[in-house]
Amino acid sequence: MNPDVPHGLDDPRERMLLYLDGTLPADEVERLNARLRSDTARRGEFAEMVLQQVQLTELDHAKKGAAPLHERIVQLPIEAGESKMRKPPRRWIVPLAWAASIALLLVLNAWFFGPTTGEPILAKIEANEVSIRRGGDSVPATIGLHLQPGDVLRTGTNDAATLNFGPENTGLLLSASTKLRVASFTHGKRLELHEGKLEASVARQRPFRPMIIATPQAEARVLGTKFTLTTTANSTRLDVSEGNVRLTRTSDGARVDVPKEYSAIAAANVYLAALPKTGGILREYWTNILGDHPGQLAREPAFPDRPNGSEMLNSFEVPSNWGDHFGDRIRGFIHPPLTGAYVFWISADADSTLTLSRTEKPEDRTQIAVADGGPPQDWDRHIAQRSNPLTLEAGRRYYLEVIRKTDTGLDHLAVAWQPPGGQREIIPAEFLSPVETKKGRR
Amino acid sequence: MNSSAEMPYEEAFRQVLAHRTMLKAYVQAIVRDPFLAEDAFSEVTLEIARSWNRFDRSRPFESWARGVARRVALTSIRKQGRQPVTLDDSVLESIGTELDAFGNEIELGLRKEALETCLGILTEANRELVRLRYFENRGYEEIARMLGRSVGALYVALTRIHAALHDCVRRKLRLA
Repeated sequence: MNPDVPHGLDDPRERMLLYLDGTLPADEVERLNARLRSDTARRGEFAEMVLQQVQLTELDHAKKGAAPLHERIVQLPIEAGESKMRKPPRRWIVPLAWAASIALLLVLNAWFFGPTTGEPILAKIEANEVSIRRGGDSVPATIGLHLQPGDVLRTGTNDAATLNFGPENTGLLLSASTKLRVASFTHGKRLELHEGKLEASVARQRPFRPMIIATPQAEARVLGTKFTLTTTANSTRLDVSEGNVRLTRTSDGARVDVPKEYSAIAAANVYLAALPKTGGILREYWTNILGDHPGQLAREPAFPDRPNGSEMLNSFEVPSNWGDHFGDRIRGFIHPPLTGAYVFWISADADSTLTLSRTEKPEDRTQIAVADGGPPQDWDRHIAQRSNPLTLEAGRRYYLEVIRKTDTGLDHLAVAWQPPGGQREIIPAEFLSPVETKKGRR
Repeated sequence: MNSSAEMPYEEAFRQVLAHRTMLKAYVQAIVRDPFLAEDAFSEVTLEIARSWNRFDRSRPFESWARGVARRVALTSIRKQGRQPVTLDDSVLESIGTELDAFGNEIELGLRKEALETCLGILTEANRELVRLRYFENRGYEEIARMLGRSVGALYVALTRIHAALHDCVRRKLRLA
């Protein structure tokens, strides 16, 4: 295949490609139209080409969907320390109250209205796939480059980049396939995350000069914290590790303060609220119960409010060979990363039911799959272990629950899903969050 | 979510799901931008659900859904501040019928698996071109600058890549 041949429109397939890429001139579109109207074979070729484009795009989405969301953790020190603008009191001025007041006013003036200390500098590139657009031009992405308002930085599919902010201890880690625009430094730092994910460690910012990161759906206002912001075409997700971030949904101005270890999602038709972060699902267990049917667990007086114990699972899988004569309930929420059809499977040593709600309310759940024994992760032993394809929306959370009652023998339990365009996998922790339990409850 | 507790529009979602690849391809044939097509397809799904009560069940779902998709796709182009330049409705409908002929989602899934395997037959340089264009949605001028090639050469190369993938997919599906 030699691609370096002269360009021309003699090949009808090339005209189709130009059309599908939106670059075919209008008169050529008319010619293509006439050709496709009369030529069935060409219509077939066109259909195949457009199908191929769509499937190529989906292949990339599938790869992104399968990749763990938290591939890289930024380890940037956070320091909410003293500003360099603060000056020590001058002892010799003490008798001169007026002078002291003026000095104080000067300090406050510098603190509140002085220029923002840090401006973004490209500090690190993982691979060599970072592009920077300045005006209409490309600027080489070199370490130490000072970014300017209007610059657009984009990371490749296998790349990551780190921005630091001059003397202050603020850093942003941009994950792969992320597009960030530096909007302005006039009243604080204003950035626009068009797509992708960034992890931020933000030193304390000056009052009235916050760092603001806007996405297509929301605005995160920060005065000093650690957090992660992820945006797609339809939703923005904020995960806060330290401090407090205010997230404002731009479509209606609704806002929420998201504290440490909480997250929030801004998207159409999603209730804006601070929710416990994803990262696990709650398992509660009841011991010393005979029988091997979930109904026997349901008849226990201690069920569902008084389990003998509970633990947080790091993925939707219970450790094998946990015990005998027990029942357990695993419940929480799934957070679909993509909108589309999901298929679920359950595999367990004993009778178990998998229920899923079409909302975040447990009362809306219906049974979607059951297991009745078999070896670990034998997903296709029985057709009932598999759900029908279920359409779930990214940016929403759905209540999910498993009830199992096991007796003796090797016990095991796992729940898998197949996301749109992805492979079957045990549901990873990053797409799970536990139910909010009452304080002190086991 | 399952049949016993379905909301009225769940049948609509089920139908969209069963025809999603055809609808996405149809939308792409109108909006002519793979990533805008993704967004427009989401809107098509919602619009089909909203219009579900108006769907005459005695008619084929595919052509009715394409009518909805066409309206939504044209609106999404206008929202971008562009004037739609697209194929005639009759040509688009014929292409929709051609897309139907590729089979159901299971068959299309096999085709996609074959396509993924066939990416392996491309040269490293051509795989890179596919990645930049379809995985990263970079424009031709940007790719041309990155790779030090002319825009025209890229079009020729991509046309040949599509042809090579097309032949490879067909071979693999015949063998399967």
